[in-house]
Amino acid sequence: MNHWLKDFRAALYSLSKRPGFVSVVILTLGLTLGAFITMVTLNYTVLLKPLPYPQQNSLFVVEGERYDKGKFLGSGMHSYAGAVDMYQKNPVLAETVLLHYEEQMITNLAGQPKLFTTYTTPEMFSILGAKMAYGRNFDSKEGLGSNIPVAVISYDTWQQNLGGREDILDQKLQIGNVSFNIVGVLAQNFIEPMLYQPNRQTRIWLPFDFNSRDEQTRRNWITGFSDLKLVGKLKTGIRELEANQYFSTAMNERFVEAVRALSWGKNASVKMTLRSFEDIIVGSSRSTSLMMLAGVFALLLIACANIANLFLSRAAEKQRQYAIQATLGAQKFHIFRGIFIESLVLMLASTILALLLAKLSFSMLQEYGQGHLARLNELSLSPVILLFSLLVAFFLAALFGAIISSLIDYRSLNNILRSSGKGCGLQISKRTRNILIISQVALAGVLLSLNFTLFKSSMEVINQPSGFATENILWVDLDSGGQEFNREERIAFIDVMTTTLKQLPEVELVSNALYPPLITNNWTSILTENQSGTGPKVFPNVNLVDQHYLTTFELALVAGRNFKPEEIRDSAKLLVINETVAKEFGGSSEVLGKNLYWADKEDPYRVIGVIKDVNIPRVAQVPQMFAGRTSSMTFMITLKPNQSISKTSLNSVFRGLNRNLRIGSFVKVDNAYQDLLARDISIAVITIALSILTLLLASIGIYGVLSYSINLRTYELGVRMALGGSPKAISKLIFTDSSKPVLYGFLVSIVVLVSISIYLSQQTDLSVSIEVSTLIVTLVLISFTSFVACFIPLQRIVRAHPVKALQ
Amino acid sequence: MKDIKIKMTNITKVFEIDNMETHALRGIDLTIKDGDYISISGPSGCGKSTLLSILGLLDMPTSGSYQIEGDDVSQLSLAQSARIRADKIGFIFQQFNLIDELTVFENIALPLRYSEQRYSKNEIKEKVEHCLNSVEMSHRAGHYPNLLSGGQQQRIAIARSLIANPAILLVDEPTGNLDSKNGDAIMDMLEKLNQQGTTICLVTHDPRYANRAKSQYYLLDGQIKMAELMQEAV
Repeated sequence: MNHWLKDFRAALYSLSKRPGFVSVVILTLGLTLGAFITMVTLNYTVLLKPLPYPQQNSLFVVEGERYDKGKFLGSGMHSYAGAVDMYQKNPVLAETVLLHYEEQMITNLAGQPKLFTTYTTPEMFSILGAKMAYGRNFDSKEGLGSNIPVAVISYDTWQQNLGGREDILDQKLQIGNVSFNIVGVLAQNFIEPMLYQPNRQTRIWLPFDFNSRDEQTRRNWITGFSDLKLVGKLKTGIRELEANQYFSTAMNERFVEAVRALSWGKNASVKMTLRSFEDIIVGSSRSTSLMMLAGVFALLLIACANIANLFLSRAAEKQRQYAIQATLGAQKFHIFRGIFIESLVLMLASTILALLLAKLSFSMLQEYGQGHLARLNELSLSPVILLFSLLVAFFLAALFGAIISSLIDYRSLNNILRSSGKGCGLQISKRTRNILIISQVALAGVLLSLNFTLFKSSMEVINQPSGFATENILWVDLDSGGQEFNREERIAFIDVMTTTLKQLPEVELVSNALYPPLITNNWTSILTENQSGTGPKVFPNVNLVDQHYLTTFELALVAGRNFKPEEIRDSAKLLVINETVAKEFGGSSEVLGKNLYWADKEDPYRVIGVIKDVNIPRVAQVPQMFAGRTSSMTFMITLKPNQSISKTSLNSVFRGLNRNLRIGSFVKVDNAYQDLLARDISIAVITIALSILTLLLASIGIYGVLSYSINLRTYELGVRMALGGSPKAISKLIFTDSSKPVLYGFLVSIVVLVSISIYLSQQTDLSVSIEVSTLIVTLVLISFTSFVACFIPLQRIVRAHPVKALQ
Repeated sequence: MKDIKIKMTNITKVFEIDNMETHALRGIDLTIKDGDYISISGPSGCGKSTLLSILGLLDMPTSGSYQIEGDDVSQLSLAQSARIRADKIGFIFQQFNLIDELTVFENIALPLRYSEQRYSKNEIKEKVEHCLNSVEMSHRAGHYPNLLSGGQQQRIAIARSLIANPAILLVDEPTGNLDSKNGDAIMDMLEKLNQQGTTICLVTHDPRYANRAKSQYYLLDGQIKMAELMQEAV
């Protein structure tokens, strides 16, 4: 032990004399190891760590799937009546939960915030094993049909919206006309399963009875809602398949019975499938996080190759010390111990830096990665990760120690002292140097090509024109603050509001519509050619609009015309569709004037116009239909050029019309569109950053190895010069020797890329295109680095008389 | 009348280290004729290696005139020096200086590859084999230097120095890394080569070997002294 301590002190002293070497090793490894630990933590959390719920393997979401003539139409939806029926009767789930996801304005809180609310049944808290920070969760008396207005709030809501007050259980929350008593605060460490939308954190939990669906919808067995979920814990002894069968049979019977009377429902059916919590929560994050881990691992390998090279240079520098130790009786083990301890000190220091960076990366991922990656809130430096990091540090220390020790010829150490080191210094074999270069070039080539593939696909999405105007348009949704309006009252009020808004000096145009064209899958319906349900069927996104909508968003008509004001006023049965829908009914010209049947509506709707398709980021096809009109108090407000209007001033305009009115949501359409591009912008930025880092690390590494190789060959080059080698001949020799491993590295990277490409195309849906341009750019950049790495030390040698090289 | 191979007139070499001038050579006059075998000896730091470097065009003199076979070589460019080294000068070093990554054959052929004159594969093979025969190492042509003993390596170095048929052979402490038996064998070989017509300039600190040369020079403080001084020094 004493010897280890002595060696440790010696290592510290020796390293303190080489601050440059120490900082380069710690920075290079700290940065890459930090990224690696972050990715390992992410993958551990996503792939290996059990979900933080008791009996997590028994937790399932019952997913409804819709079919027409056996053709799959969509999944993830339930009819309200069907979901409630299954909640009440099913014999296969030990505990069943209903969830209805909404967003509500809390009118008695400061600033009247609009918060995510989830309406649920009491079993939700027990199946998730939810712990409380204060109070209690819902009890059995507050279950379905009880209509008791209680609320459980999240820890964040308590802290952020209620100031963390002690008397929280005496407080109420006003939502619409109902005042809910707060009965509990969930524990800070409660993690909500993301079953609906990836980045949606429920702020207030309310009894299911109070959800906003009207009585008619509650009796409906047909219309499917994606914000309605049925979840539960499978009974012991019941298999998933049995549960699927039970739910499918029970649900389909009632569905078919209800839908039979409808024009499109003759061949419709539903099927129920149990999907595990893990499957839904993790989703596509599995492959994304694995790909990120692979990328960072390649980066770590490049960094390790660099570090190995630095260690080898240091070993060459310390050869005389090793020789003295050997002469004084040190055995091979003693020399390895010294190298290992020095390496361990550096690895531990790098690991500490890496852990700090990983901690920082967790916060960044939680800030910017939500919605793209699962379980980010669970990222932490757990004991498992700390142990793993420590093992990596020991492994790397042992690896570098072993590499260096293997290169030291213990038997020749004595000769070094005898010959004064002239011409027989510690030599890192040409093979080792070449392996270092080949591995760095190959890894850089693979990583850069993969990055470029991702970058290119993201840039295609970013640069794709949306096909509709987004700039200077506000999307404003009003909340009536609990005041009830019937349809006629609402329409009258909308007309007044539209006129008032138009009179504002900042406003150019006002359109009353449900949402901008960028919203998809919010309301999809069915269009058929005839009532019998034969012929083509299309499932378009529905939007209810007025005559100003197409002008507001500059949606170009390819055939027909826009709505007329009187047609909107009279809610005429007319449709404007887009090209994708038109194609299904014979094309843009042919569909004009055609009568189409919309869902279960008795009268047909006549097609009066066809607009060009819009492009929504990462959505393949967007079938759209527009009809007039909506009674929703939602407005698309186009501002005049260089004008702006604040939410507050707009709010005061609305409150001037009715004191209960307030803005529920205030969104700039351009920002909403940019949000859709956020994932691709992030990918583009990350891939560029990763590419620069890869190139930088690879360049440093290749420069290090090549310049070191040339320095190592100085004496040999001196001999060659003494034998008549001209500066040109020596330069040619060095450039030829150096270009070989660079080219081999490229060949290896191409082979690896082809293998990855073949594997991915055969085994997954992902594809990697091998970009010749990327390979050429990489080759040019690395060749340039190699050239510089050779040129600088070479000039020092060939521009001097050979005697210098021979000294 | 023998041809003059080397003619040095008033050669000086001054090194400047940390603003301090060190005079390594102070006005060397040296003439080596065709078929000569001279030795240069002297104490450590007397300038032997510096003189040998200038003789071999590995370094340039600070002043003075230096001619090889009548051509002034005292102010050549690096490329011109390299050409003359390849074609007219043969080197034998104390550390043998064989290149580890090349075989014995390739090591010997190296000066031909750097020569102005282009040699065909067959010519190279023929010449290398001839040189290998002359040092009795034909059986080691395909081996790498690290498989050879010190004596064998030095014989390969001698073969390499002869391959381009140089005007002069510069030999730097050829026995420094050898035992006396191998040292003697190498010296015998040099003597034999001289008898066959090779001009040799030997630098050594060992008077036993210096005495075997036809002419002996003694270098002291950067100047050539009379050979008798060497005897006195011994």
